[in-house]
Amino acid sequence: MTAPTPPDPVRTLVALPLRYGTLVAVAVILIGLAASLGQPVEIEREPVPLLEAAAAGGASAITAIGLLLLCLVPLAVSLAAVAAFARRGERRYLASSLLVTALLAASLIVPALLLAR
Amino acid sequence: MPTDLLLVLGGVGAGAFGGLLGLGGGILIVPILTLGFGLPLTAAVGTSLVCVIATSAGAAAVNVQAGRADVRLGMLLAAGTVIGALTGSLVAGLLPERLLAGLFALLMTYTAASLGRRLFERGRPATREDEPVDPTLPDGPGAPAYRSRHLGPPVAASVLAGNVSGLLGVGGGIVMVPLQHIGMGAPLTTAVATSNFMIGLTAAAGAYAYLFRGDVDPRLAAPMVLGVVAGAWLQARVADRVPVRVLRAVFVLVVAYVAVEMGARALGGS
Repeated sequence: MTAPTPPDPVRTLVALPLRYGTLVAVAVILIGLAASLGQPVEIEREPVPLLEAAAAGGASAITAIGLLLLCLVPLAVSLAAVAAFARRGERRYLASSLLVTALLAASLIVPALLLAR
Repeated sequence: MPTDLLLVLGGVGAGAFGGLLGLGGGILIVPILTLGFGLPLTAAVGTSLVCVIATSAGAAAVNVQAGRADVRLGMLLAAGTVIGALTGSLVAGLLPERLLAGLFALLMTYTAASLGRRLFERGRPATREDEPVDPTLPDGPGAPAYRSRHLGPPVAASVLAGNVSGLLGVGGGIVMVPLQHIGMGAPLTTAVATSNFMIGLTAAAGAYAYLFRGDVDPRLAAPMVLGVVAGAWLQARVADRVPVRVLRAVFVLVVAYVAVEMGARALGGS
């Protein structure tokens, strides 16, 4: 009889931000929506930058922060993959995870810097 | 019916459908938001990208833990699709959209025919892509065969997939699932689960710009995102019970629809 294969540590580490990051983001969005219950949904025809909505305070700020948290989950996933592959010394996958992380970080930082100008 | 509830229900449908096929659900979300709620196209695309992240997170949280998604293959191919998604805007000005749509329609027609042919092959002997694999095993003895092949061409194809999908407004999954299944020989269930894992990374690369520009309305996106997460999570819980034959049939129909849609765009239609 062979011993059961231990769970893949990469899978275990990458699943963490997916599970808990999503849970936290959904919880924050739910709180924001609960706080705005009863207010009619008005579809904005003009752009409403999410950071401005988050800074405005009130129920919509909580909702905006929840959405921002959700959008940061992929970045957290790629960071977890970097850590997992670095720990196991899997160079090929470490290189691709680093590239994905760098590109995601750049796609987050560059628009933020352009907006700040 | 209150708008919030309609958005949640639309999200549940899109999340379940997108998660089932590894597509993200943008193919449903953009029409729901533009035609159903009168949202401008850029705002609908921005909101759709956030929902694709939600589909990916909801489905992948279950799929990665259950060992259905190949995280190693996903991270390799995601490097290609993320580059493709980011460079899509640069290529946009160089290539005529109708030519791209025409080429994409041909690719989708080939994919639909190739997958469809397998549906009607009775008593077909088990092939490599039908054999069960453990996608969580690291490289070495016992690792899935599709990962041991030369991965240069699939990564290059995923750059193109990220590029074309960004340019034409279709989800990367519509290319990534057939690429892994037909091109690399991965089982369909692994291809779908891995695509679900990857599309969140690809969508995030495009979503941040929309977020900062203000093309995501939080009050509208929030209920839909909740619905999408619920739909994707529920779908991933029952994914093992969906027969591969049914999954393949639904995928063929969706790919054929996209082929017709792109063909119409190439010929000067919508």
